Amino acid sequence: MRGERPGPRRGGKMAARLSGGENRLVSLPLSRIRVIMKSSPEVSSINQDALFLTAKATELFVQYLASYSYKHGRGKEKNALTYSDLSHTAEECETFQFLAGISPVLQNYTRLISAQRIAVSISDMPTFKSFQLVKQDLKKMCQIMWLKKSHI
Amino acid sequence: MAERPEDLNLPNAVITRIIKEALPDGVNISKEARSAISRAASVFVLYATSCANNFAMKGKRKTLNAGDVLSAMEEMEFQRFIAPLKESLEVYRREQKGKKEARKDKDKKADSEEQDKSREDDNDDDDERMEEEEQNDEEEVDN
Repeated sequence: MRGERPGPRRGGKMAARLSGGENRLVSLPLSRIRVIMKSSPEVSSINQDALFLTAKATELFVQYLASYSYKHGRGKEKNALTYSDLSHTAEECETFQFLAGISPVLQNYTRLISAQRIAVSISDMPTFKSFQLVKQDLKKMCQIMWLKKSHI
Repeated sequence: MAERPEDLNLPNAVITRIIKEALPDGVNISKEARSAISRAASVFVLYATSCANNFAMKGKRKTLNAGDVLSAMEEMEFQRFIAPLKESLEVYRREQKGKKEARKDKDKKADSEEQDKSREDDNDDDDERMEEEEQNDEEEVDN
């Protein structure tokens, strides 16, 4: 039944299939990646190559974060990847430390702060080091949030 | 622009598939772990964009380019991504070039139809894929 669409949609779909099919170069939606990138206020425009590379890098990041956390985590014994494996990674591995202060905020962010504000504070940070300062502020905010909430 | 916080989320089905590809078969991924990885990925995009933008600013350019993103990876200590990224970029560029040429050929045949399509491609391509994953049946009925 699939692919039996009437009209011009079908043509577009076929073209997409042919160029990628199952082995697409990148599986994350570029349009969504662009929205996230553009939420950074100082970014004015992004060329197509930069957009593609960011999407691809994000996929590599997801795989790296997952496999690193699994290898170094406790869930391995139970054949599982758990939240605590991930938070352990964010705390212990330097490369992933930029996630440490932020992930609890993100856990709650829909309720607590607008995404725009997170985007602004992150994009204010030119390097990893200056990130630490903001991270601490975020951590404080998190702690307040944690006190108010009983679970993730 | 991201107007709602949800606009910063990445599609769960795609994220889950990517995670599964990275782990041995049969590993169970808890719901919280999925959602944490998904949000971490959004933060990664913002962090990378911010770093890349600094390189563009240093070069007095307004548009982020491939070099800026690659420099950002190095700065963020994700050097390990650079080689695979360069490889896929090459394939991507070749693919895009092929698409452009295919489009030109089609243009000659059906001018107006192609315009409709390219407009649709821009909006639909990615969203469609998300829908495909999550609500395949529904989509079929709609059509």
